[in-house]
Amino acid sequence: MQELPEKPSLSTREVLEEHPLFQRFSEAERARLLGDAQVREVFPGEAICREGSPANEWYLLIEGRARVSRTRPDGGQEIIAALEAGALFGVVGVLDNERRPATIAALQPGRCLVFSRGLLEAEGRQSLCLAELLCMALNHQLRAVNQRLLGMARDADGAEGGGRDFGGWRQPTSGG
Amino acid sequence: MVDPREFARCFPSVKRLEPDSLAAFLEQLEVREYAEQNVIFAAGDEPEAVYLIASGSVLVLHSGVGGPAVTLGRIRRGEMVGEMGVVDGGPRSASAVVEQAVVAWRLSREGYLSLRDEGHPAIGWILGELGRRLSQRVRSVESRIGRAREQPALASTLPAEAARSRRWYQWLWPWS
Repeated sequence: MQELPEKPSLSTREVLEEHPLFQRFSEAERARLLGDAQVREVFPGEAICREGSPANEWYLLIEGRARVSRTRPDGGQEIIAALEAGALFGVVGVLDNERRPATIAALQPGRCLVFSRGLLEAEGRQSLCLAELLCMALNHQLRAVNQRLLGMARDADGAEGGGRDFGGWRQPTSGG
Repeated sequence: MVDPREFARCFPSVKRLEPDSLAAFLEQLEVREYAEQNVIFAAGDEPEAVYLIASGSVLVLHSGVGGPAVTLGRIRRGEMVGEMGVVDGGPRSASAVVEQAVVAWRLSREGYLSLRDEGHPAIGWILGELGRRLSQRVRSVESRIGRAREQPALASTLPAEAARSRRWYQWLWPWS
């Protein structure tokens, strides 16, 4: 069994106290979150969640790094993002009650907090802080997928040329 | 003062707010008008406000520095633009350009933060709306990425129909 890093670990309570997304939560709200959460140790290559599996949990990576990959149409795997400590992920799948669109696997020994769908159902109805946290997580994910789309557009543009002018802005040649 | 009936015609779910709460929320809004091709905000700007569209349409564009222009979305009556920066405080990641003359209700970030900090009932409605729209956009962009894998030129193309909304917000956030 591999050992975790020697660097002293923050307690899960300290992690939430210091995490920017949880700053506005009251102590009681943070305690309820931690009362639901499980701490999971992860090791390099270990999947935290797998593509195609039911999305019943959401996660906060509190130590280590992870990679996000998904299956290409040809059956190979493509890495689409890297996650650093502090990343909150898995929220959209839980909210939409859909299967995981990607696999997230540890790149380093680390820890994550695992929250249940039930917590969202119970707390989401009462906590504006949790509602705002979910919006921020969605925001973060939207920024990430927008960047992926722009990267693909850049690649395609290099192969096929650009769009047309639109009042000083260039608009794609098809759409709508 | 914004007419509550007119506002509710564009955003019907706001009727769930008590009249006093709705009135206090509407006091925070300013009416803004923009002509075709006006830039409401540009990529890199500070996130000064969210705009709730009363009429017209707005294109959300990545302006294509170092790559092609990409239309990330088309925002119409009854939708919002600029919500991402208001939620997380980050700079604008794209530009909002008026496609057809727009009348919008502007909620400043200060107004949003003020409502949030006082725990105003309207913030639950706003967060519910934001969460629903952010989730839709994540799914819409993911769908575009999937299509662009098959046909790279589609990465720059706005699909005719965005991914349909999910219903999670109805069980999660009763305010929305």
